[in-house]
Amino acid sequence: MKKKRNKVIALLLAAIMLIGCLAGCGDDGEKGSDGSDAGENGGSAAVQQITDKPEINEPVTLKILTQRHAGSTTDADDLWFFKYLEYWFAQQGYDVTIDVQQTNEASTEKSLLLGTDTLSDVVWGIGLGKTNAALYGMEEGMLLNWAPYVNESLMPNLCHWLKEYPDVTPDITAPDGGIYALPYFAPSQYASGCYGTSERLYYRQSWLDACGVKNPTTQEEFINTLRAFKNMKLANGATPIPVVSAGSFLEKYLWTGLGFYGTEPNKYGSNLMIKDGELVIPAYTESYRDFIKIMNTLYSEGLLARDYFSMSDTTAGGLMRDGSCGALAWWTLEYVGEDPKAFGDIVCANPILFGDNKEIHVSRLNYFTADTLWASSKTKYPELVAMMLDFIYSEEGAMLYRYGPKQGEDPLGLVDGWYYDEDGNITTKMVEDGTYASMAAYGRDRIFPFDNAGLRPAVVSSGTGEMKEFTDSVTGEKYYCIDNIKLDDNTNDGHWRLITIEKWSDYATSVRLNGVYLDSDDATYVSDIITTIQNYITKESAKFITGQRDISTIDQFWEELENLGIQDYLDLMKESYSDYMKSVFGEK
Amino acid sequence: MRNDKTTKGKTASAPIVPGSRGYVRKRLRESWQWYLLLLPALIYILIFNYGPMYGILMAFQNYRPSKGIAGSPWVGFDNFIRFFKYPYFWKMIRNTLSITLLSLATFPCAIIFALFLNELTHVKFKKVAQMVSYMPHFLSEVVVVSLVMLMLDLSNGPVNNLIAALGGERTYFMGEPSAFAPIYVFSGLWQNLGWGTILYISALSSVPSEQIEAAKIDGASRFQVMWHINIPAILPTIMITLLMRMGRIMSLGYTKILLMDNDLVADVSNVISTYTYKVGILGGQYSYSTAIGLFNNIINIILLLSFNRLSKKLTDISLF
Repeated sequence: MKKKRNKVIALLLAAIMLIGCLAGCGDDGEKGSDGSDAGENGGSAAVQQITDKPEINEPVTLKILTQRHAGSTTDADDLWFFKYLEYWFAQQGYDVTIDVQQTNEASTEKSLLLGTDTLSDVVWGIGLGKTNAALYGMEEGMLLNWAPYVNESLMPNLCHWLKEYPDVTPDITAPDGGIYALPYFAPSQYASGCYGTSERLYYRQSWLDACGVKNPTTQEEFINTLRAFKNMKLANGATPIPVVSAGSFLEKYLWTGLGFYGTEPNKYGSNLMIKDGELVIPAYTESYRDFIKIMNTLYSEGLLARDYFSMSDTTAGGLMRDGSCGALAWWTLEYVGEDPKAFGDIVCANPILFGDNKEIHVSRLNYFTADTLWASSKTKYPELVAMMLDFIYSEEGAMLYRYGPKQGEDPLGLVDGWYYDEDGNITTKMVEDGTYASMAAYGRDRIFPFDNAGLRPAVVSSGTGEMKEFTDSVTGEKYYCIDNIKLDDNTNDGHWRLITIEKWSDYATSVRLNGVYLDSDDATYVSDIITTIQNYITKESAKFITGQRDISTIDQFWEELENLGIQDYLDLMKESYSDYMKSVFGEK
Repeated sequence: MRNDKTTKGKTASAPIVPGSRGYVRKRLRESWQWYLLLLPALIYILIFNYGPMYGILMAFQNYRPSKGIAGSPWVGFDNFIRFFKYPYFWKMIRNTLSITLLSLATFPCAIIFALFLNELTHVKFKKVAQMVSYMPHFLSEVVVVSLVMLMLDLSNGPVNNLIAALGGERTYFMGEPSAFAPIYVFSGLWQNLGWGTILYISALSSVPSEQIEAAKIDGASRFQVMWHINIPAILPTIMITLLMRMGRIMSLGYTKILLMDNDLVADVSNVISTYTYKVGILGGQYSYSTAIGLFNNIINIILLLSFNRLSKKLTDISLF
């Protein structure tokens, strides 16, 4: 009897394990919403325009993979905007279910999806990159070519913005005429963007006053100011750290002062930039010697924290917050806090000509990002996807995407909705009661998955006042920004923008190096060589700065870079950018 | 024993030779329940371990996702040649080996710790000691590296505080290239020492107590019992685990390396696994990273076979 029972149990267990095992082996590779294998809508771009809205009577499921901001606590499936999209589709007569997956590891996820050809119907908020567009769009045919769908009938809102900003279309169009990703428009940024992202160094005025120095204007004054900061006696008895930097913003400030612009510089200047009208790699120019000398001085004299090279951004932020540094370099003054006394004490560093540099420029924030929405060529309902994405290029869709519904107007009854406070700022109940620190934090956690998708509504801009004329520092062309008096100096956000604009708007330029399309061979070559070169520059620069390698061997370092193929790489990229460089600087 | 029982009462017309078809059939008939229980594991191994092996073909192809493995163009040994020509090839091999060999040098630690634990007579203390030593194993590498960073922090870390208290100069350990491999290995040792003893403690528990008592009666000291009875008794286990470790000598996880990495140690932290991660997962160069993985595995297999043979010759203990 016992033996029989054991046999039955054994049989049962084996069956359960077998079923479990086989269930795990099911084909998990999603083939797009229709399960088809071959790409139907990718590849060659010369395709007839598709203008009709589709007639679909069966229920449709659209799979979306989206990036989320760090620190999001909710599930993307619960975000209001995706639920609203289902409602919006229903209003149009379609029975659509939005199935959302989220990721915080965008680069890894993107690479895996592309490498295994298991793309969702739509990839949301994750930059595709032009090399990927060329490889997986033009060559592999895995990406939906949007060109046939970008027309007044199917995507009128996108067409409106493309007409408004005509230089976007050439940038998003691949050499075969295909459009493999859709842009993110931030026209409000266009208006307020009279500064860049490589100039963000700030001082505490109280430290400058205590040391009896002024906001430095020369390299010598800059270093002497930091030396003076080092000797400060802090009230809490802590050891002062003259300058604290997160996200390599100190290095960016130095590279900018050394005359490089066109894009954000890498920490040690290992990426392509522009100087004196030439495409260069900063670490492979004479200016690198000046950069290393300055950084070496800062490190050897203890003007930087000794654990500078392994300090996390969070630790650096903590040092900025607790007031133990005199100079701080970071995106914004967020770490300084909302106390007007604290952020009111901050002044923006002057533009300084470092080394032998003669001129300073900083590339302005771009008003569009080329490739944050893309789709699988296997999606069965490209027209539906096009209609859905076009909605977020409309003013209404953009507002709903960013803020959700207005108070009392949520057709789904899921959120409280936003309203204007006494000062005319957009707010909501969960921000007012302190559940979220800001509307941005609320929106990212409750309403939408990621900032950079579709259209940034004009109301987001800090300051929506009158336009003021500025002059591009490189081309001399006129452009318009919001008058800085409309920014609120009594808020942290308004303060840092104001002080940055005041110091840097005369140096801002629209000249910038957007990505270029490379064929797959060149892309592989570049990917290979850039890893090698950047790794080498990183480790040798750290040695120079910390004194592990003698600065006098910089010439030898450049020879080593040449042996690694830096000149070949530079030549290839010069050729790729030649048209753009000629258009800005003419024949050289 | 079981054979005797199951064949009892049967008169075989011809002897059933082990390994023959009849023998297999007989064993299947007699013990089908056990084989049935084994079946899911076999299927699992076939599907998840042997099945993906066809992916090795990618190492010899220019893999195109849209064409799949069957349709991607062949490139022969191009991916391998590209790896061998990579300027950091030898540097990466050296960096990888410097960490794995140092790690191998700590191999006896778990054995020594197990032998000491085995000597403990106070049962409660023994259990607590075992449990405390196991616990770090369950921490994630992120937590372990964070703890290491806190311990070695330049300004407030206990290690530097101690150095400063003793009159020494504070040292920036996390930025010291020569300290990278030791920090990696010894933090791993701290994390996994207790866990690694489980196998040896269970092996030690099977040592016949009569032998130990006889040795003690003959006047053997505790060390002599350990040396002449306990260690020889667990030698097969030690050799098997050592051989398996040798088979992973070129394998090194990338997560902890990336967590500990910074610009100052970039020269020594560039190992094969981090490179494979960067070009394969982040760069999407699957054929190239498969070739690197295959190269790694071939070296591992060669080492495993060599040491297996050596072990068989020297100790008569081997994996196969």
